Amino acid sequence: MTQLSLGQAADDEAERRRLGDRLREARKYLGLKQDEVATYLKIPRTALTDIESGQRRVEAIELTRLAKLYRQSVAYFTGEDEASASLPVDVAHLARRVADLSTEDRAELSRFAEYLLARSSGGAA
Amino acid sequence: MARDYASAVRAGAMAAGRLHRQLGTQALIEQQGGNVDVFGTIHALDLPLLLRPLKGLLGAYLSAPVPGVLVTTERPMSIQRFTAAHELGHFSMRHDPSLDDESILRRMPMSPEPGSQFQETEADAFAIAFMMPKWLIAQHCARQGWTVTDLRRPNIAYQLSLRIGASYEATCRTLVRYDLISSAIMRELLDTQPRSLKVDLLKDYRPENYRGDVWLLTERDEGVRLDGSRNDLFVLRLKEHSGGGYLWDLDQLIASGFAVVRDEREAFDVEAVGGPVVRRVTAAPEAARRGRMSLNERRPWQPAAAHASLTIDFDLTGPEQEGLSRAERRHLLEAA
Repeated sequence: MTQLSLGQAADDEAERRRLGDRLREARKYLGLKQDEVATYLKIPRTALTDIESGQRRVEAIELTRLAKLYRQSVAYFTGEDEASASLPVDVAHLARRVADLSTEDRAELSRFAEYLLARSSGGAA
Repeated sequence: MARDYASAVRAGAMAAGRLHRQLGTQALIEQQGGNVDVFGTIHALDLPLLLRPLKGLLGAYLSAPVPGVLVTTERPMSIQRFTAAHELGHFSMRHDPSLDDESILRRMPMSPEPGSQFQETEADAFAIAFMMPKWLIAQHCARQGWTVTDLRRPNIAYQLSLRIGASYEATCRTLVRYDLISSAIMRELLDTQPRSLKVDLLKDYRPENYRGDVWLLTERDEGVRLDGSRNDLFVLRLKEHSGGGYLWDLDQLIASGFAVVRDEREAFDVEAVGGPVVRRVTAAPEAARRGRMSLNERRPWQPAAAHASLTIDFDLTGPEQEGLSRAERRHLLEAA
């Protein structure tokens, strides 16, 4: 194997791991269990574990179905569409006014705004 | 947006009424019993909603980038439902974004809102009228045979609160709002803690804790559906014609996924020998958290002919857990 293709393989692996991480995060955020999602995809649970750890390639059809289930765009998972929303201006303003808003709650609000953005930009069913 | 308190209350209540009419809620509940499906409605309206472990907030409504609702997982189901109804009110009335804390539960009339806005009052009025409409209370009272006088009794108010899916306190406050009890009676009712009502119902049975609710079920609950939480218990109080050989078949109860943790008979009329007795059974859900409970009163040697029966559809999977609501989860996964 040439130096170039070795580098390519490593890139692919890193890419797969990133995709797996995003898929796991999205699943956990929605409170879905691995076996629920595996049943939905009609694949064994271990296959989903492998997808989420980057050890198994995700088929295009599976990725489309997962994106539909997780209410986000395929591009969000492949990293082509980096949805990162900060709090909408008026919510940020409101958050400053709510004196005892904890940092955790503020983080939850931002994460939710991000979810809404990804959902509105094509991921919604 | 309303300019004063009274018109804000009116606007909120009217918006809730409109939504109920649009969804046909009243006819549906008349048919199957139960409460207003707040989370199911939000899902049906395609309003994004997530349950998250919020610390200081009970919920939030965002209007951008698209409208969406957060509700905390850190509270019992009745509070989650009320919060979700409040956020649904913000959505229905196209309000500005809102971060909602404890104040939504105990906002006093006429308390000024920052910037003399009335959108929180509107959302509160919406939540009350949506989750606890007067017709829902009337329906449950009619089914159970409760009169207005009965509503002064803490045990009745508590059983009503379970059936409409609101907290005991919210139920008592709403009864005042609808002029069904006076404020003085409400204060008396609130002196009684739901815990003591649970202890009374369970008699000498001691659960691990008293966080779960205790449903008193009778023949009047035949055919209804009820929504509760994981630690809830059922106390079945059923007339039994044992003099004629008819007995409630508890094996069916066990087959429905319940453990019988207490079983006794009380004389219905102490004077009448051989008359009907009252069978009082305490059942704890074991295998199933959601399903149908079904049992018959029949002669053990003549199992085909039942004298009476009790069938109840139950969902004791509350409160809502982290992530998607149970309504949305079922829609997505069970349709797959």
